[in-house]
Formats: sequence, structure tokens, C-alpha cells
Amino acid sequence: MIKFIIRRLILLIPVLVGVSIIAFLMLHLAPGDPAELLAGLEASAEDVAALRVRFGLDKPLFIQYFMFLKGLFDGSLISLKYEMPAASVIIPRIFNTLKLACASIVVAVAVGTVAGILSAVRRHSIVDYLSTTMALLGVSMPVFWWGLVLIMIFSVYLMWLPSGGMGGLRYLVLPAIVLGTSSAGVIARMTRSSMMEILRQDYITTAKSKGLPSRIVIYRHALRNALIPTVTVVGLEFGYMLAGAVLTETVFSWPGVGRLIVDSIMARDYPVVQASLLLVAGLFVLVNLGVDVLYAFLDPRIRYD
Amino acid sequence: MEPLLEVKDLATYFYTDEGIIKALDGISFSINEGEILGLVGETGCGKSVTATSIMGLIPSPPGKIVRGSILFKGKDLLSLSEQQMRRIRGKDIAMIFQDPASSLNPVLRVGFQVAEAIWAHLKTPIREAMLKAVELFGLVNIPDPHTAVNRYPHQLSGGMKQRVMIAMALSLNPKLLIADEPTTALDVSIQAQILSLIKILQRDYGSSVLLISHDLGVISTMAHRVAVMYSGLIVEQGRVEGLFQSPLHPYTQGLLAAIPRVDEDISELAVIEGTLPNPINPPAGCRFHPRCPWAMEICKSKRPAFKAVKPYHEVACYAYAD
Repeated sequence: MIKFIIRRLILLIPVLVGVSIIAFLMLHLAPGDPAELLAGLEASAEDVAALRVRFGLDKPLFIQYFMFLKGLFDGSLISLKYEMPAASVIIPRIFNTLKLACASIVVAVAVGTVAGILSAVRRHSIVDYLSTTMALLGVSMPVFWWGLVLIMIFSVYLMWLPSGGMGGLRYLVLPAIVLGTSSAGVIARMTRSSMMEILRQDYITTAKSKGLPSRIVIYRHALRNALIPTVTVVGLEFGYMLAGAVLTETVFSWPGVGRLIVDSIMARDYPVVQASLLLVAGLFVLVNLGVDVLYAFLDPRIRYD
Repeated sequence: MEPLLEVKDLATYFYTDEGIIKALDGISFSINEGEILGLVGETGCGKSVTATSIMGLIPSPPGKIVRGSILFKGKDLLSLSEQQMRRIRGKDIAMIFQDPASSLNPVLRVGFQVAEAIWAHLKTPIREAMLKAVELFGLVNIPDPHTAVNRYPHQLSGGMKQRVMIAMALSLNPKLLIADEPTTALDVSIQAQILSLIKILQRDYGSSVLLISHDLGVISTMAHRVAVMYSGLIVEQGRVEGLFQSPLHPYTQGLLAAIPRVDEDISELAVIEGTLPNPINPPAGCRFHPRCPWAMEICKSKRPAFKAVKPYHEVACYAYAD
């Protein structure tokens, strides 16, 4: 297992190199000049040229790429927009994003698995119809709309929760629900179908024939087998939350990395975009590694050595 | 003496989109204490449904027991609540399934799966129940039982898995053991070992066994009495010696004739003409009449009743009416 983890961590290197090259090229091939944006509308051609030299934007592309790599390692990477070290721009944002993503995945897993199990166990009952309908709604509701609805109810009318910004746990509730909703739907649907599949297996009949209470049959015998496909989905959803929470972050003015990336793309803040993308890609790979490790704990047939 | 299990006019239907499958349409039989009853018939004739009906494990929907009674020690199992039935399952009536590969939970240790059965009924702590599992593993001749209890199903061979299933079934000394095709999925060399194990344990424990098989050889060596099923009905039952030596029902005769014999030079295999009837729309009267060489007019309209033609030998066929 340890060997497997090390091997996967080594594989992370080519992934990150690939991501860095693609991110670098896409940004530099896109139209728009950070020097012009930074200098402002009234700047003279000389001012712009000076800025270009200052940030090394006048150098050939591959030299710029290596300068970026060098900056990553020695911390000399500077945000063009904020004119401060890129690390101190990105790192607090990453922690904010992690905080939101963790809270959201907890919401999504709790709601999704419970709804999925209930659906599968009471197939074609009112509970099942309700939960599958809710899951479909959850998956299809646009985040910005759902976010605004919740703000209207809980912040404007009931005044229970803040409508945005960051602070204590209270600030986390609404964004976590909004970001977790579609994942809860996806997880519920996955859990339902895999539970239904597992409940048909012979070993479930064996478990019942032993005289086990149905609670044990469902949670010990069926759920653990049904969790394997669910865990895959949870991992993917968590990955998306790390990278793609822009809408939720915007609706709730949550200073996360998704918004940072979008803002930095607008400002052509190359170093910040590239470094953030690398970080997010790395996290995504790590989450998937975590999922693979979890498989081995859930299913003794899965061994990596 | 009162039989241990008495099934009377049991009918189990499955309500599907295509129609009602009458998997069992009124079967009656009984099993005495310490007796092995063989239940034979072709695939799809309702043998397994009989087993799951007795266990109270018919998936519902679509399945439903529509009439009849299952008296176990004089008590009708069909009148029990799920809670009461659960206390009987695994303790008084235990079951061994056809395919040991799919009957054990792949993510739980085999010893735990046995211990769990003990825990379910006696509330023995799992740690203690595991010791009992080790003992049971030894009893069913699993080598090195201390290590074996900690294995997962995929680490054991098919024969070993079936031994685990037997250990599980015997863990609470059940009065009745239902073995549904216990050797069908196993290699021939392993089959004999498993069968003799069941026989020895049955003798030592004094349990009764309902042995379901499509293999007449298995039934003839194992069972005391045998019931022959055809299309959801029992057509003939009696003691093994009598039934195998002089089968009465034309279907049983066909079945026995269809066994190729090694001591005869045969160029052609004997077959029963025709196929099993559609269970949704079975033929009226005797369900075997479209394939029967002796079919008479009455066979097409009225179902024959059971008749004791000889002592301990009954058949449902008009050919023996007088």
C-alpha cells in the first residue's frame, strides 16, 4: 500500500508538468496584454514597454515558462495585479476553498447517502419518489438561483444567517448547502442504484437466512458493498468543488480560489492563474489517490501490490 | 408421530408485467424428524421457490404466497410476523445455497459471517462467537481453522466456501436444514466430499434435511424419501428405493430413463419429448399431459389427485385410477 501511494505521488509530477504547460500556453495564446491592463488607459507606449520588461513579458515564451517554474520553487513568483508574492495571494484563498468544499461534501454525503439508502430499501414507495425527485431537482437547479432563493429565505426574511462573506460557522451554512446540493443529488442517485443492485445479490439472501435484523443486513452487508461506486462519485464531486465553486463563491462573496482564478484571468494575472491551476490540479489528483486508498479499506479484494 | 415440517397446498405466485407466474401451485409434502427428503425436478420447476417460501424470503413484490400453510413443529410459519420469522431463520431452519461463490459477502471475513449468525440469535459477543466459528470450521474439515476464519471469501476455493456455508448453517443446530443444490456449482470430486459431510452432520446432529437437486444420483445416495416436482407441482413421492426401482409417474420414468448408463452401449440419449410448460399459462388438467405418452381425455381438463398406489408411494396420475 505504501509503495502504491509513493508510486502515485511520483506520477503526480508529470501530471503537474502537463497542467503547467497547458495552462501557460492557453493564457499566453489568449488575446490581451497584462502590461496594458496594468498601466491603464492613459499610459504611454514607453510606460507599457517598461512594465513589460519589468515582468519579463518581453522575453521569449519558453524563457517565460522557465522563469515561472523558477518562481514557483524559490517563491519569487509575483502577482501582476496585486504586486505581491503569488503565494500570499493564493494560499489563504485555497484554505477558504478547502473549508467550503469540506463542509459541502459533508452535507452532500450525509444527505445523499441517507436519501439513496432509503430510496433503495423502500423502492417505489412515497419516500423513494420524493427522494428521487429531490435528487433530480438538486442536480438540475442552477447554483446562482438556488443560492439567491436561500439568501432570500434565510437572510432576508428569516434573518437567521448572513447572506455572504466569511466569519464563523454561521457564514458557512448557506454556501455549503448550495455547493453541496447538486452533489447530494448525484450521490443519492448513485447510492440508490448501487444499493438496489447489491440488495439483489445472493449474499444478501444468505444474510437474511441467518436471521439477521434487516438493519444489519442493510448497513453491514449491503451498504459496505454499495459504497464503492459511491465513493468514486464523492471523490469526483469533491474535486469539482475545489476547482469549480466560482458561482457559489460569487453569490456568497466567498473569497475562494475559484473566484481568484476567474478574476486573475480577467486581469491577465498570469502567475496567479498558473500557480492556482497547478495547486487545484494537484489537489484533484490527491483526492483521487485518497479515493483509491479508501477502496482498499472498503473491499478486501482490492489490493495494490 | 407428527412430522417436523408439513407443507400443505402451498402456492407461491409472482406478479410480473408479463403475467402471473404460478411458480408453486399447491404442493404438499412433509419431512419427519431426522429424515432427508430429496426434492427433484428440472430447472424452473419451483424447487428453489419451495425453499425460499419455507424460509419466508420470497422477494415481495413481485412474489406472494397466495394459499396453503407451512407447519413447522405444528406452528404455521405463514402466520408469523417478520420478527418471529427472523428468530426461526438460521436457528431452527437454516439454509445452504447453490453457489457458494456468490452466497458469501465478499467484504467480510468468513469467520465473522459465521459468528454473526450465532450473535444474531444468542447475542453472544462476536469475540466469543468467533471461537465457536473456529470450532465449526474444524467440524466441517476446513484445514487450519484458526487462520481460515480470518480469510475473505475470495481467498478460499469453492469447496471451502461451501464448507463455510455449511458451518454457518449448522452453527445453531437447526432442526431443519434446507440445502438448495448444494453441490451443483462444485467440481465433481468436491461434490462427494460435501455430500458426505452433509450426511455425517445430519446423522450426528439429528437434523432433518430438505435436499434440493436436479441430480438424481445425488438424491438416490442421500435421501430417505423423494418428491418429484414438475412445473410447480409435485407429481410423485415415496421412499427412495421404491421410487427409483419402480417409478410410477410417466415424468419420473422419463427422468430416470434419461440418465445415460455407462454399462450400456448407447448410440442415442433418451429424452422426454417437448419442453417445460410456460409457467404463466400452464396447460389445464395434468400439467404433464402435452408431453405424456399415456395422455387421456381426462388429463386435459382435470388435475389428478394424489393416490397411494403402494405403501409409502404416492402419485398424481390418472393411469393409476381405478
